[in-house]
Amino acid sequence: MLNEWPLILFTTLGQTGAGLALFAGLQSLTATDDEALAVKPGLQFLLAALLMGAGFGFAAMHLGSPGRMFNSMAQLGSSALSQEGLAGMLTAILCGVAGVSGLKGRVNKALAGTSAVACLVFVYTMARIYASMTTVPTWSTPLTPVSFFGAALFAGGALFGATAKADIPGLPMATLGMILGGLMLLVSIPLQAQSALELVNEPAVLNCLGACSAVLLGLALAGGMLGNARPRVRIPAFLLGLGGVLLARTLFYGLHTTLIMH
Amino acid sequence: MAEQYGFYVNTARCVGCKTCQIACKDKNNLEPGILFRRVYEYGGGSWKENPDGTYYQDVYSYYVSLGCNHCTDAACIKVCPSGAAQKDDRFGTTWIDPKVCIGCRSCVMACPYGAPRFDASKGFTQLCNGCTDLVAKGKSPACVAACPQRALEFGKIEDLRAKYGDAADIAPLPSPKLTRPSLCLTKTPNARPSGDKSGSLQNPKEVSPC
Repeated sequence: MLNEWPLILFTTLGQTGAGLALFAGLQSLTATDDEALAVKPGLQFLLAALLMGAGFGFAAMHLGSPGRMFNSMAQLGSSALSQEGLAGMLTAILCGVAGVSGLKGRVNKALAGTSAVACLVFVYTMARIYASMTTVPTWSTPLTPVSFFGAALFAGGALFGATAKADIPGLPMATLGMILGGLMLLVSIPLQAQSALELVNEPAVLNCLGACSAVLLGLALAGGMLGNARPRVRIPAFLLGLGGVLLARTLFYGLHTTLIMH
Repeated sequence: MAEQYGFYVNTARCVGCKTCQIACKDKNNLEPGILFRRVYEYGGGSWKENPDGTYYQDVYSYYVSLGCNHCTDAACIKVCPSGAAQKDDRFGTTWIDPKVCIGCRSCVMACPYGAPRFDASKGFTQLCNGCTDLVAKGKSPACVAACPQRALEFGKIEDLRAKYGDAADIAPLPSPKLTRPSLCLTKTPNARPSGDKSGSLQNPKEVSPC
C-alpha cells in the first residue's frame, strides 16, 4: 500500500484552503459593505493562503530532492504535476494578497472573484494529476475529481462556518456547499474503493479506512447542519470532517496499484 | 528521431535464475532493495477431476525478466514534471537525468511495469537505461551478457520483431496497447495472456516498486 502521508496532508490542506477561499470569495462578492466589514473575510483568505502554504511545505517533504522543488514546474505544457504546482502557487499568492487587502476593509471584488476561480482551477489541476494517469485504473476515473472537489467544498465549507464570527450571509451558502461536498465524498469513496478492491493488496485495511472516514464525515455533516442553530458545534464539526477527509485521502492513495502487480 | 532500441525476452528459455537481476545491480551499483531488472514469477493452476473420478493437477509457473521497456508512449515521460525522464537521442531508450530529477515519484506511480525505482539515499529516481554506455561501445547490456540461458537480447526493436515476432502480451504484464513497449517475447507454452486471472504473481514483495 502506497503510504504517502506528505501527499495526503498536501492535498487535504490544499483543498481545505481552496474551499475556504472559494466561500470567502463568494461572501465578498455578495455581501453589502456593512456585512463585509463585519465579517473580515481578509482573515479567512489569509488562513486559506496559510493552509495552502503549509500544504506545499508537506509536498516538499515528499520530494527526494526538495532543493530542486522549482524543477517541478519545468513541463507546464505536458505534465499535470507542473500545472498543479504553478496553479497552486499562484492561488496561494492571490489568496494572500486578497487577505492582506481585506484586513482593513472589504476585499476588492475583482480580487475575491479571481481568487475563487483560481481555487477551482487549483483543485481541478490537483485532481487531473491522478485522473489523467491512465496506467493507474484505480485513480483514472471521474470519481477522483468528484472526491477532490467534494473534499474542497466539504472541508472548506466547514472551516468557513468554524471561522465565521456572526450569522453572515455567506454561511447558508457554505453550509450547503459543505453538505454537497460531504455527499460527493460519501458517494465517491465507497464506489472508488469497491471498483478497486480486486486490484489492491490490502482490501480489509481499505474497507476499515472507508468505514471510519464515512462515520466521521457523517458526524461532521450532522454538526454542520446543526451549526446554524448552535454555532459552537461548528468547530468540532470541522475537526471531525477534516479527520474524515484525511482518512478518505489515505484510502485514495492506498488504492494505487501498478498494473503489473495484480 | 533515433531508431528505437528494445529488449527481446525468451520466456521459454528463462529458468528464473535471476543472474540478469544481479548483473544489473552490480553494473549499476544499486542499493539493496532497488532493482532495475526484475524477474516476475507467474504461476497458477489447481486440481482438476477426471471423468473417472481421479484427479490431476495443471499447475504452471514461468518467469518474465523485465528491465525498462523503453515504451514509445512512455507513461513516465508523460507525468514527469521536471523533464528528467526523457528519451536518449541515440537509441530511443528512456532514461532519467539524476541532475534534474526532483524525486517526486510520479513516474514510479505511473509506470505500469514498475520500472522506475526511487532511491531514498540519493533523493532521485532511476531506471534501466539499456546500458547505453556499453551499447555505444558495441557491447551488450549487462543483463543480456550475463544470461546463462541466452534468453535476453537487446537491439533495434524492429530487427528483433522481424526475427522473433511482436508478441508482448503475457501475464503478469499489462496489455502492450497501454504504453507501446519496445519489447518482444517468445512465449513459453504455459504462458497466459495479459489480464489473465487464472494465476497470480508469486513474488510481489521482491519486485514491488513501492
